[in-house]
Amino acid sequence: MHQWIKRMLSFAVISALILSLIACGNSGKNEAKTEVQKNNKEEAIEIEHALGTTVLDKRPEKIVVLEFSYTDALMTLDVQPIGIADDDNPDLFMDDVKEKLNDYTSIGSRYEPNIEILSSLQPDLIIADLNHHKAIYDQLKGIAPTIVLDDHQADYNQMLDNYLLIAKAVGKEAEGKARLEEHKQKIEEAKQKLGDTDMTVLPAVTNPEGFFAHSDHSYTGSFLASIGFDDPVKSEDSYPELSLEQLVETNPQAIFLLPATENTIVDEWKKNPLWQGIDAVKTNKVFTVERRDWALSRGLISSEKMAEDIVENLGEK
Amino acid sequence: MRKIMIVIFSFLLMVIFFTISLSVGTVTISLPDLFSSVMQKDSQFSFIVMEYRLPRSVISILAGFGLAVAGVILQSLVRNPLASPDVIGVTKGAGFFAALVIFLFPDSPAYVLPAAALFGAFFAFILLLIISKRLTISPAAFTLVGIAVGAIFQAGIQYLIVKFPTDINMALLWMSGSLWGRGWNEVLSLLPWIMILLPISWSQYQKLNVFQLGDEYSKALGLDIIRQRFLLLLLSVSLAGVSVASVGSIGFIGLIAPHIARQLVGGRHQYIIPLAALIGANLMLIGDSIGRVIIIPREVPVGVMTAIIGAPYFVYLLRKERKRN
Amino acid sequence: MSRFPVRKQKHKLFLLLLFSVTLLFIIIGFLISLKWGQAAISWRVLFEAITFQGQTKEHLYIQTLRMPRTIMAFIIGCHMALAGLLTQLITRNPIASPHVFGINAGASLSVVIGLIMFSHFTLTASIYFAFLGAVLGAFLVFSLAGIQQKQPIQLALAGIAVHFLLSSLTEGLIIMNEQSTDSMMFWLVGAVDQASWLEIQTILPWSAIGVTVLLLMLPSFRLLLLNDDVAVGLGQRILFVKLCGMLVVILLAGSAVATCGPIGFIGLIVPHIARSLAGNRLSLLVPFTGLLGGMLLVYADFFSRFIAYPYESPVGILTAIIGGPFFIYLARKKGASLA
Repeated sequence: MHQWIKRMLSFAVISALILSLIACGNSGKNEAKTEVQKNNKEEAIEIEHALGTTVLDKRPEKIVVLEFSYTDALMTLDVQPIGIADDDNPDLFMDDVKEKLNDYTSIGSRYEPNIEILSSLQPDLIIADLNHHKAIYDQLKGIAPTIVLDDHQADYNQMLDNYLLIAKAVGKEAEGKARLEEHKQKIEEAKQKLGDTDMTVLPAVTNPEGFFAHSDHSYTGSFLASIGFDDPVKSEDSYPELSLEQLVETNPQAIFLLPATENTIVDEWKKNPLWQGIDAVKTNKVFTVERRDWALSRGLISSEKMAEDIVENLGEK
Repeated sequence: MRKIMIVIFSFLLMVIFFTISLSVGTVTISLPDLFSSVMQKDSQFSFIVMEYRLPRSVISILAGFGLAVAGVILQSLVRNPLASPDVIGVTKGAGFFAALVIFLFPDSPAYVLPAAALFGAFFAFILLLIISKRLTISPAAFTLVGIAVGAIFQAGIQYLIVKFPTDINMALLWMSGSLWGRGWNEVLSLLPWIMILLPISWSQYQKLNVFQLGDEYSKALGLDIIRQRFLLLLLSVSLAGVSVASVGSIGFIGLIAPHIARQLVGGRHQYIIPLAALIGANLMLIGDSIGRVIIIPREVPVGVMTAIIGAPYFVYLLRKERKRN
Repeated sequence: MSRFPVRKQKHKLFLLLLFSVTLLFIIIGFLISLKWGQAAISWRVLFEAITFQGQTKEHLYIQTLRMPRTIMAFIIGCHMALAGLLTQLITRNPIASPHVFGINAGASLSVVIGLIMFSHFTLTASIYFAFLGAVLGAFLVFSLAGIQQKQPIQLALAGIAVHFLLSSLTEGLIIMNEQSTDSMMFWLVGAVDQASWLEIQTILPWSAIGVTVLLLMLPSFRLLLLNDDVAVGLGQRILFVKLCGMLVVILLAGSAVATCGPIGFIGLIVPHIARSLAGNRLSLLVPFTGLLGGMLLVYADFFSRFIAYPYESPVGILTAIIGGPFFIYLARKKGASLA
């Protein structure tokens, strides 16, 4: 009899401890409720997206975005999001985006955005990614009108289509179109500056364990292809992992390294005489660029930055 | 009497943890607010409580029930307190098929993933039946076959991870077991199964009591061993399968909840089954509540959290048990 | 009563043949592993490269990439096989291996912790971390099952429970650090394709220490083959021998995991094949197990190149795919006696 009373007691004590832990863990983060704004039928916006059609009664004011590329898009339109799923790590924004970005609330991981914070922000538009967020589409719809775009697997041209949709959704369709023309102009200028683009260029994310080429099926690769460069890998996969032997065989004429960590496998490879045999190394055309500019931000600003990086490194001087 | 008291006590604990899990999160909601958000539709927190936390907590409970009872049945069948649905490869099978969907068909509708996971659990089970010569081999050998089947599926999962490095995070989150974003749809697809399978499992308590004694006893009592073993196993796999399909492969609950229950009420399954179910639900609720508040705005997946909470207790239990022997 | 109750005496001629055939296969394995890869290489270039002549691209492929990789596969195979043999002897459990016994999972967990905590995490540091983790894994398993545990199934289940527990903690850590997810998941599968001469230099001292201790203790390890009733009389001595054995297991498996990730199942399969071929005499069984393990991993690494040619697939996947069915075979064959 005593034994089990003891057990119960210790169980209760443990639960109490856990309770107090929880209580300490988060002290009042409640946010005051803001007043509901009146609908304005004239401004109704209708958007067709990956999971259906969403109608916005008015131009959205409070926007939450769940991918980096959407932030990039909003910055070009001078729209400030109130919440962003930024993996709770603001350093992942590229500098050009961060400069323009005002204060926002972090919604946590892009894979599992924090729905409680999201709903407490009381947004009137949510922009989500098909692949990551389709399972919570119903819940998101319950919070605010939601548009779902296929961003995660999009290549450069799909991104441009998505961009126009975002512009339309935030009620700035005309500005969006104008900005897109400007973007195309900038890319065209970059092409002019580059002159001859008849060479193989390989962008690759590197980490301590591997060298991941971005083929022309990937976002970065497809952008390079649209400028006119050749993809040396010619793979069915978007991000094939290359060994040094393969890299030497592939023999790209220029390499853009996108290191994900401070030390990468390339540090090791550079000690190998084979590395010196790659055309890009021989002609001094191995460049290190920011991964957040080239592979994370995936928008107009980042593409322009990519074009800039390319012109700076490969342009005719 | 004492045993019933323990079961009632666990039930009360579950009610408490349930309430806590409704009130904690990024925003802490006081009891009166909680009450009003359940009663009135448009109160301040009604969305968070009704659309987000409530379905999530209900799923915690249901999946906790399912995983724990699946573990109870399995442990009795193979007569080993260290067995769990994880060990016989069922959750790995579910994980492999879930990974297939995540990596190969990323554009498929959201309901495909749980369906594939359920299919995977049963696929692993059928494989297990074939390899174990339709269950005629000893329980020990059966367990080992299960471990091997699980290892093969694990190799498959790893191959997919290496081939498709972009979606590793999504697959990992699913495989470690996460309640993030689970809503009423998932409740509705899990609830009927648990409502049917749980009473059936309880009604089998006498057979489970006999089974854990050994095959000789079962035979002496006139049980058709192979047939009964198959039916009970099917029950266990179904419970684990539907739970895993809706919350991801959380293995630890199925191992530890039956264990705690057995410590508290001894070896009789009429008590073990309900108690283990309640303990499983409690563990899920605690794990999820802590996981949600520990690193706001992000969350720790419930599978990882239950492993962290359960591990020290598990080691303590087993050491104690060994000393007694 | 014979001193070695289950000892199978093999004919001397047979053993001679066995060793020479194995050596032949190892040489063939090395040659094919050096010859075939992503780039085509002629036999002439291969010959020049292994005699260290020539400096062309093809020669360098062999000298700086394929050769260290093949040698590393051999070393890791040896380590895992010997660690497996020792765990099987210590636990008297036919299904024991560093993988099923939480040693690999423990080492992996602590290496992942190290990788997350320190941005400049060197291989040497990760080897020490792996040792710590391996000790932790082994300690957990044996405290769950008891070091004198006679029931193989109990030990196996304790091992697999610890394995799952530690793996889910590792997964949790990886999930919380998205930025390095890819590199850690790749490491966790286990591969030798990135091995360099430098890594071989780092692991070789540990191989030397492990194998030396193993050979020095060889006469004592014979005790592990004794009958239970004889062994009981030796009490303390047996425990000491077992602890030394565990130390060697941790040295060999820990350094292998730190270098190439947890490549599973080599430690399970090889000792069984080696025993059935070379018998139970430790002075023959130990070197044979080592050679066979090295050979098997060299071949596995060779074939793994062609799973998704021209892209590499980690060898750990191939060993699991071979090892799984073998494990099933063992479970069914020995199952009856394991209850």
